[in-house]
Amino acid sequence: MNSLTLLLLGILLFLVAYVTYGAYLAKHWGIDNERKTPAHTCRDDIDYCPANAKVLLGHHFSSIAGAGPITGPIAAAIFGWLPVYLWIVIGSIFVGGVHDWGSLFASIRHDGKSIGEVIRVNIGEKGKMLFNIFAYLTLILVVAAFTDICASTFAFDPAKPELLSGARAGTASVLFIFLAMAFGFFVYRKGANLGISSIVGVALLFFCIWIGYQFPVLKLSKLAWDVILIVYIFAASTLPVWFLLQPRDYLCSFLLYAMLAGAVIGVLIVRPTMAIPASVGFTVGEGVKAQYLFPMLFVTVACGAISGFHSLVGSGTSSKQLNTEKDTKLVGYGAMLIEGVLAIIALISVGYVVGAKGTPAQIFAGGVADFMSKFGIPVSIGTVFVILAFSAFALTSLDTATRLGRYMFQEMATREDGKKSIFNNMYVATAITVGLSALLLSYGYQKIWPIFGSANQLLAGLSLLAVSAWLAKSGKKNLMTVIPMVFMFGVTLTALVLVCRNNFLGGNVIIGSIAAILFVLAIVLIVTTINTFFGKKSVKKNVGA
Amino acid sequence: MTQDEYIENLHKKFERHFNIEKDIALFGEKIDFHANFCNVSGRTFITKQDVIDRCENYEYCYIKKLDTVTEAETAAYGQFLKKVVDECIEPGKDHMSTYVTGAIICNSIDDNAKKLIENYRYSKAYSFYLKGWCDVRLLCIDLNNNEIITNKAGKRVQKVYQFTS
Repeated sequence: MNSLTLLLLGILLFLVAYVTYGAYLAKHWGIDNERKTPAHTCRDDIDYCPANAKVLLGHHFSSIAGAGPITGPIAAAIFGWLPVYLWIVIGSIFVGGVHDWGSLFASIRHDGKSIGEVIRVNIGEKGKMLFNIFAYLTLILVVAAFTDICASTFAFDPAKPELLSGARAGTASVLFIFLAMAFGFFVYRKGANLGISSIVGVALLFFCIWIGYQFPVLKLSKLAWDVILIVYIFAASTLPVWFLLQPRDYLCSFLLYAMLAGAVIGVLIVRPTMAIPASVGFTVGEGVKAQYLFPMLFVTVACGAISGFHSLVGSGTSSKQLNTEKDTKLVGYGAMLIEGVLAIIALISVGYVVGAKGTPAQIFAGGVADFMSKFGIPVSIGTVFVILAFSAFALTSLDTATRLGRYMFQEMATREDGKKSIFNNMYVATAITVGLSALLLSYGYQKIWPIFGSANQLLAGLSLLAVSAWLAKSGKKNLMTVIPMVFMFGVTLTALVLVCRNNFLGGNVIIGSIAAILFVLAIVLIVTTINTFFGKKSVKKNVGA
Repeated sequence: MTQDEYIENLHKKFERHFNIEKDIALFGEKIDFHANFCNVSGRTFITKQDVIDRCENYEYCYIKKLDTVTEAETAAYGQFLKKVVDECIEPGKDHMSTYVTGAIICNSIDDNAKKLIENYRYSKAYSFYLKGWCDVRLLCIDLNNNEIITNKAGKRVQKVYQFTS
């Protein structure tokens, strides 16, 4: 199968779905363009302020896109490209898109509160604590998985001195961090013109890639990179956000656009054929290493098809800045479909090379760099560029996950009388969060990713449950959210049982125990949330239309 | 334009985003118009109270009417602004920036005072910038000559103080 066909077909299906299924959902949910949004009813020109839908789409997309939509499809390609492709397309249209749009729509009908907020406000103190423990464990897994991917990608193997892409990308990444800090200093502190600074910043960004390519001085082992990354995420998540995170994310957005443009143009020129098998059957591997298409495919490809964190983490701005209810479709549904396109590109990059080996970042970089070489960019430079882009997203995910983990730990450590202990200290909480993740590093991202995916998808199921309940109480059709919700609960619970079994049988007690704890928490959370939204007492006071 | 009309115009410009007070006294200095602004931005998780990260930006404007601005009065006002920074600004861990803007509205200003304003500098970095920074902007609005004199930091807000009717 020619991958250009897959890409164009995917984009076509997304466009058709946007127009048709989008219109169907809008009609049955009662999207009312005349109804005033919180941006108007609560307007304060600070948090609540109507914004251009296209600008908001860009902002929302950059908030939800990270390294997840790239990692998932590449890791899931062991099942063949067809099931992954189908799940990305069908999942984005009928599950992830509905989840993101429904959450956003419910949010603006609740004065701009996020759907997560609607859940948490309603599930009480016990539910809140369970939710915190569940999310905290998930975040530790995220930090461990992305740290392992980055360290493995940057690692230099003295036995293969000719393989320098990791050392080059690692060197460029370190330079990029200092560049971002300097960029922030000049723009924020010195008041440098943003337009000129952006041009200079992007030029220097490519200069960093060139330096890293020419002088790959950081030829370090995986262990050394593990240590460097642990120190980095500790620092990045405790430093002021404008000091490093904001300028790095800003410069990083140019990397994303350049990488996406390069990949799409490359696919258009190369028209690569999918070299991996379309399907390899229901089971891959044997014994404790056996992977089953159901449920593992659906938890491995998380962010590229549906992600619970989309509805929970955000700048809190999208729902407060929507000018009209009609805009929820473009921002909520449209952004998820664009993320689906990114996931398809990731799948094509892995499907292009038979027997591609390495971390998801290396595989993705290898494929995209090869595409870009067709319009004059040398493969070795392209590889460094794409790895840098991937690692920049992964580092952003790491930073956010660590900040979140620290926050949750501090909250859980707060005593009932409000008194604070040493565990409320920002640095102690961060050190414990990062330390727990470091303990898992030896297991590698391959073992960690499925549990993270399960937990992430369960959060999506809970959000869908809240949206379904709200639609039902409002007298609206909710089958379009109920079916994905039941599916996601089925997927996550089955996956956690399998991960638990495989890891205990394989002697991975820590991972198995985490999976077991997450399973029990998942059941309790589902029951608690169902009771909250369908229990006799709570319904009318909790849910409004 | 009279000084009162000018202040009224400023009031209209500022009232949307600033908290405004008139005729206050601080450290023995009479201030005709005081405006303060605070912007807190950041990301949250689930509820608005669950803050992942945030940063705070502040601006405090102290505006004073004088008929003729002399070097001595300018120096005294500059000292007053430094005292505001030293004694009133207490940056927390989320603090990013504070701008203290002192503006004198006058009918005439002598040349030495102009030079003093143009050369006036005062800024502070807190905990090696980990807790942000503070800059002082000093401006003088000469109503009779339609002229605005600023120090280097004040140039960024010069437009705000331009004459509008």
